[in-house]
Amino acid sequence: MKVIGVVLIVVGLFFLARPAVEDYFLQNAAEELLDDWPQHSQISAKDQGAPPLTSRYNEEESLSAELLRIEEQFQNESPAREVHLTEVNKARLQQQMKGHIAIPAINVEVPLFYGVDVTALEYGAAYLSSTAAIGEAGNAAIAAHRSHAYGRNFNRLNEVETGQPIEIETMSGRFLYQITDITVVAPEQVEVLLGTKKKKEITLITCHPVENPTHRLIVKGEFIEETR
Amino acid sequence: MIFQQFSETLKYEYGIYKVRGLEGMKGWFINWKLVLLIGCCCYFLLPPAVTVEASEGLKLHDDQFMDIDLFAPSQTETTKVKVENVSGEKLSYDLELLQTAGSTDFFEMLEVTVLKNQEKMASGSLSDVHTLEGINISEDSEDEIVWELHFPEDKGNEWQGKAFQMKVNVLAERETDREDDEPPTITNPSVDSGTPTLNGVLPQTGESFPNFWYLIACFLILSGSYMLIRSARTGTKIKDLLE
Repeated sequence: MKVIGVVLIVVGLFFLARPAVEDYFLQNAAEELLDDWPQHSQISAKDQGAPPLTSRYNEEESLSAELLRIEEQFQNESPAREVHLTEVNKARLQQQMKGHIAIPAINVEVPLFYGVDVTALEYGAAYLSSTAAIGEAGNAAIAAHRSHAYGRNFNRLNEVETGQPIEIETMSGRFLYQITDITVVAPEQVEVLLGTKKKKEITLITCHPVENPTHRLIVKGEFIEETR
Repeated sequence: MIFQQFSETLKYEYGIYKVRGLEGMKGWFINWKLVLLIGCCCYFLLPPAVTVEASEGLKLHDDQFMDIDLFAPSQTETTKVKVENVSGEKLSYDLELLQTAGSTDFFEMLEVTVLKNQEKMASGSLSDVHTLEGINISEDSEDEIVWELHFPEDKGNEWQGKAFQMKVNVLAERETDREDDEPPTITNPSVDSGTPTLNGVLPQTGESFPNFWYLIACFLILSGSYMLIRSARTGTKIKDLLE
């Protein structure tokens, strides 16, 4: 009985630590992708003619359709985490990774993936491909998890203030935005994704509050300059 | 008339053919041009999962769509859907094969032949045959659309580990409804004028709290502790008795 008791406690501790361990591995995987980004972006640019982070707008899929697709995918797909970055996963994510986004004020830098899906959101931020292209006129939307782990992904996005910078690097260049507006909206208020041809905007989306999220935290930024 | 639209993301990997993710979408229509996007869905080694049925207009029969479990050089795989016009009027539709992510080289390397009702419509690399426009379908008839996907024999290990995502769309329109001057119901978010009508919700970006794991952990730790204490007490009693 003594042995069984010890085993149960050990297994219990393992389960207790599991979420934190998963977060640790996911964080490491994201950092690995970020580390590989400079090299991978050059290879992609050379091998594939580098389609950068371009919008698919005006093509076959409207923004409404993309939002509905994402919604359905999240309902259907298992939220199981792929915490270990296998070679296959890594290759796939590298293909999907089209840049990275940094918010220095909250010490965040995460990979930026093309298209929102369950896996991409585990490792970083995801660009809604039916919104405007990064750095171009219109409203480019980027979503990321309001992770439970402190500081991971957009966990601290509620701490940003207007005037603070958002930096995004894609294969097209490095773009600097400045935060102009922070709001909390209902999930149905998709009009926050609308833009205008007169302004180059960015919209960051994450859930609010952290636990049992019922709303979305929206951080809007305005394009300042392209630094490269 | 309300149509539904569906699209599908397919994932090819060397040696394995996978289909990832249902990308179903609710219906919408553009008032100058009725649009129907249809797709299919199935999962690796599973029978087809979805038959798409529009409330009016078209039906998509996808029970023979993408049940491929191996994809290697020299191999040709056939996959098909049936598009049935139940609208009671003549429609035309476009077929689109679109790469949405992954290796462009791999996508362009694969060869495809598209057949409609056993009649060859086009062939070539996937990149060349990505759109076939203006396929007419008369009222109350059915088209069988077949894609014969071929992995060229001379291609080898250089494609190992490569992957791409592809989307298959069937875009149908009723030309008689077209009024070019009228704006679409869903307008470009980048367009200044007009009142856009957006559907859907903002992406779900909350993480589920790991309550389940914590509950199991607490149960196991408490059980283990109880057993240890019980064991210790029993051991003390035996020792007392022996003394």
